[in-house]
Amino acid sequence: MSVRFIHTADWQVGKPFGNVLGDAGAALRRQRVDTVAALARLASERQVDAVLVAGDTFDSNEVEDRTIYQLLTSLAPFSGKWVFLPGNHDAALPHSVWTRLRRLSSGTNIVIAENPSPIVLRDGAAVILPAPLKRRRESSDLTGWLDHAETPPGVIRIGLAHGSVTNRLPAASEATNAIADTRAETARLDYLALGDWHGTVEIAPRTWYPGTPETDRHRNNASGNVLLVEVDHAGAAPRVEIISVGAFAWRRLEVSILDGDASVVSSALRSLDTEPGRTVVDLALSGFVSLAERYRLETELTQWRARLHHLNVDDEALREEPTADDLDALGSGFVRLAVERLGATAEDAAGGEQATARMALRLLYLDHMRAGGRK
Amino acid sequence: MKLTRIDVTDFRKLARVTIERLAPGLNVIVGDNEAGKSTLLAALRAALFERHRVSGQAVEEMQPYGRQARPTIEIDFAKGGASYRLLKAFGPRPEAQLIGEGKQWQGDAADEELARILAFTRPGRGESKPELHHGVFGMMWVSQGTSHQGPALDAAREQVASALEREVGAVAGGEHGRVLLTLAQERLEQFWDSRRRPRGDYRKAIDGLAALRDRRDDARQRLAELDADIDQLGEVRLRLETYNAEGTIEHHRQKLLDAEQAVAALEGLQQQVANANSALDFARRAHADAEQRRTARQELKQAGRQAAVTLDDERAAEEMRRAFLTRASAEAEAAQAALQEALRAQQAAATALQALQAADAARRVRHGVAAGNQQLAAAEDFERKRLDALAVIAANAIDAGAVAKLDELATALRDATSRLEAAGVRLEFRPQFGGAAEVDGVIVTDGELVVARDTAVHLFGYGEIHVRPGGGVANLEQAAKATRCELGAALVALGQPDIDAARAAWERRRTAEQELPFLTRSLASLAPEGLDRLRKELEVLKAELARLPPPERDVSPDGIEAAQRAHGDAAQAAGEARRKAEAASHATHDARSTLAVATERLTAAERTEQQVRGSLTAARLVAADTELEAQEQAATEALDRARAAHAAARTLLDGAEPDIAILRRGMAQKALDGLLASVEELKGKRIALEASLQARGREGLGEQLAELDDQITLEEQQVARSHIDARAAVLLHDTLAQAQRETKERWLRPIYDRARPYLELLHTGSEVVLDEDTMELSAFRRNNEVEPFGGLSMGAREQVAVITRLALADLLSEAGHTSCLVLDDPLVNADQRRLERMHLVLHKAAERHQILILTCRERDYLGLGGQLVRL
Repeated sequence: MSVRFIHTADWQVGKPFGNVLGDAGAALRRQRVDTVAALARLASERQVDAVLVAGDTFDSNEVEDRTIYQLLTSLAPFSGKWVFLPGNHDAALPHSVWTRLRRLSSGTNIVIAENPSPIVLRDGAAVILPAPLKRRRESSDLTGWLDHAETPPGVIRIGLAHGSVTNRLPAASEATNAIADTRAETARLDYLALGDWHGTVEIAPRTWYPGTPETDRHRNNASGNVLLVEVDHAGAAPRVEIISVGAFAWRRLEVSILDGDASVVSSALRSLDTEPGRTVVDLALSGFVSLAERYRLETELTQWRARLHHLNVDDEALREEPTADDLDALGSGFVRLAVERLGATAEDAAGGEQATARMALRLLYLDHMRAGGRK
Repeated sequence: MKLTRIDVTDFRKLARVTIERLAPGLNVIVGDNEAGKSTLLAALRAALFERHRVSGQAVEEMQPYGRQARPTIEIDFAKGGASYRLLKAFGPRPEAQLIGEGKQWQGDAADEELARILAFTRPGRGESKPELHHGVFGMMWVSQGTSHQGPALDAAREQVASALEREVGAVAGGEHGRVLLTLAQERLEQFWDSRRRPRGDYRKAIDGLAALRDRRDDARQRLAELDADIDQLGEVRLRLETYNAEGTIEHHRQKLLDAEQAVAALEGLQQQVANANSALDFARRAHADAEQRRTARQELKQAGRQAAVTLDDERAAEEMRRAFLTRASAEAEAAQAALQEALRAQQAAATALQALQAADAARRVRHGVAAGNQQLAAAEDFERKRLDALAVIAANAIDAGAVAKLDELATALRDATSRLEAAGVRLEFRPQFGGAAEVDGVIVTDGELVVARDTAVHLFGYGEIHVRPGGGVANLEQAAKATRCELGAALVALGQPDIDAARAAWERRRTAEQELPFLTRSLASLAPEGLDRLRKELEVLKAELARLPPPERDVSPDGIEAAQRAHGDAAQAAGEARRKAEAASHATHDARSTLAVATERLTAAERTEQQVRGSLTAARLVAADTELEAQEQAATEALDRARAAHAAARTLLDGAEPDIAILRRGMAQKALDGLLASVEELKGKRIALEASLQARGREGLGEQLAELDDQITLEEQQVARSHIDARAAVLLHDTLAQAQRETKERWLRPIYDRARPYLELLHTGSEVVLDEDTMELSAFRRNNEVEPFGGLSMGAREQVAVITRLALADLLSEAGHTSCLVLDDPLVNADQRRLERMHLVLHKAAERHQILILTCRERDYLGLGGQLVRL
């Protein structure tokens, strides 16, 4: 008998996005719950047996009750079984978000996999073998018990765990909560449902990270998806369908202004393949511009800020170089003398005032434009 | 620009003035007061700077006084190598015409072209103002009475600035630079206060970040506490589960049960011991009772025997006491008889003695009366004498002091008399014929007479001789008289006729005083208690004597003594007999008492014996002696058995180690209690922790902290940017300000350079100082001291202002802005020497500029060397 389920993880509901000011940040925060609702509708439509959430459902064990309520509400469209595995963000501590969720929820379809014991699916056709985190960090591989977990013959074995698969991820990711990359094999699993890595990836045979369904940072690759998994019978290769559910696109752009023409910035932003109002952009600028060009660039960026959901600009590496035209525009006399001196300070790496002097030049040019650009 | 010809018609007071051929250098236009030289300047200004169609008050003011005319000005001038003729007419038919460079402009076009050529502006409407609209001319044409003011640069600033820039290069920032500096200043003030401390939004951002960090620290702290509580909850649960898993409580319950059972078994043994103990007590009491009963019987029998013996003894004693009494009674009677006899003998002796004693007493009374009479008589004699002495003393109230005083007075009188006699006139009367003389009424016959005062001596038959003694006699006589009077008075006071009588009286008194103590003592010895007492005692004696019988016979002392001895012996014998009688009586009494006691004792012994015998009989009726002994024997045996049973029970109990069993039970109970309390405490703790964690979990600390982290990251970036902005604001402002300062120092130098050669003529080493911003004359430096322009004298201000204008004219003309200078009486306050110097200055300037000086002081400018024009 086959089994079909949705594998997702790393919802991190309650993530505040405090670094994105105003309504934009609030929208990102709210979207995490809304995406869960979309996922619930998908589960209902696709008539899955269960939704497996492989950890980090919540951003923290210490989220507000209101956040828990919002999440419970968003689960409503799918009345099937929800299996929640505590991850490192919401570990099953003696008192945790799960303690409170259990008290707040009235649904019987919610299973919290707080203990390393089998959970029966579809009247015993499949068994979920969870490896919940009872602490935020575990130095041992909690999936070890799966190797020895006995199940009746012919039952589909599904592992559920949260952590970093060894030898497969960047070294920094493996520091804690390690999971052996051979676990699916040694534990005779038909599918190992993992969480923690925010991008969608099949990390080892029959072993998947679904990634976060709603992207929450710029360095995610291939996030915004859930996995629809079907296993026909024990020993059969799982069929995995990647389904995009994310609302916001996060893009990181690096633009270098080489010939002093800042229009490349707008070109790069225009070339984004996403809906601007649903795109969060991190723009890193480098190169050299004239004061006049810099002024023009600022004007354009102001417009882009209004168009995009959120635009963060890192212009640390962008340098202003007052050109002869700039100097002429700024005028003669002492102003010119001041510009020359500021320019020299901006070039003087030993003085430690480079950034200040660059800003002073920009401000001077800004004032110049405010004063009507007259000589 | 140079003026060559001026022609004015009907302009204010000037009906018609024509000045032909103005010199290219100095021109002095002289006119008396009210001649219209200032009007000429007004006409020039109107022609050049007013629109020909100007109307209203401007035109009214051009009209001649009291009539309507058409003020018309014609000016020929050269500018930039070209010659121009300008005609302007105002009023009813305004007209403007400019001819030059082969062209001609009419009307408004003429006005416009003129403004272009001369580089000035016109007001939107109405009359123009020189300092605002006349460009360089506003500065170079000076009206009367204003030459002491510095040149007004408002309208010429641009030309001056461009001339300066031409000179010093493009060092100045111009208006734009000033705006930029103002904006930089404003930005600086957005970020920093006057003491360069953050302010406004910048300050708020910094403080806001600090506040966020504080909140984050607080949230972290609370989260750490929350985590600690979660850990604690884990530990509590683990311990509770461990207790459950290991059945710890059940184990301890079982241990307590076991211990309690052991203690229960122990209590059975203890009961047995207690029972044996009770049985032993009972046996002991039963045995004691039996023993006591037997002993009591023995004692009763012994008492019976004792009572019989005692009865016998008492009976014997009673008989013996009775015999004693009989004997004592007989002895007492004998002694009483002897006593009576002795008493009779004593009575007889006493009677005899009394008779003898009475006779002797009477004899002694008679002797006493006789002696008393003698004593009284003697005493009365002494009393009489004493009273006499006292009378003498009382009668002679004179003492030794009084006598001495009298002697002294007598001696003084004698001395006075002697001196009087010695001093007085000694008259020796030696009458012949038995004559006599009368002195002071005294008839003197013979002898001497000492006359101490004026005295009339009547010599019978002769008449009178008046004797007048010499000096001092009168005083001596007076003294003698006084002494005499004093003596007389003293004698009168003492009641004595003369001194001798007084002395005798004193002798009598002294004698009486000497005798008085003797008399008093003698009286006291005879009648120590007074004469009356003595007399009374004598009277008593006499009365007693009267009562006594007349003497019968003589009583010899020996007879009395013998009678006394006989009476003493009889009394002694009677005493002895009395003692014996009393002793016998006492013995009889004692014997009687002793017998009574013995009788009483006998009675008691008889009663006791009877009682004891009765008791024994009664007791034996109840239980025979043998019966009692058998009972005691049985009780002894029962006691022995009870003792053995008790010892056996005790041994059993000791063998069961009761202390240990009880300790074990206590220990087990405590262990269980402690365990249960610990479990309860843990459960309580668990509930409290769960409730607390539940409540705190709701706050969403994790979300708060994550949000704070994000906000802080964002704020840190923003504050870092603000820091850069703020520092950039400082750097920009300071750099601009510094650049401007440095530039300004160079900025005005061309003007100073132009002014210097003129100033050298006026005051060596002096300099003008212009305001860097307004370029207006602000100070004057001479002798290395800077004085404010306004503080200079009027004369100095005029001179400095003229020189500054000349310097500006030099600068401007070199920049192509040529202008003639028109100065209306510019040096009215100069002294002669300075005026001469200023002539040199003007002369030097006239080498480059056309200068028109309008003045009413022709003489002042005669030596100037300019072309003189009279109005």
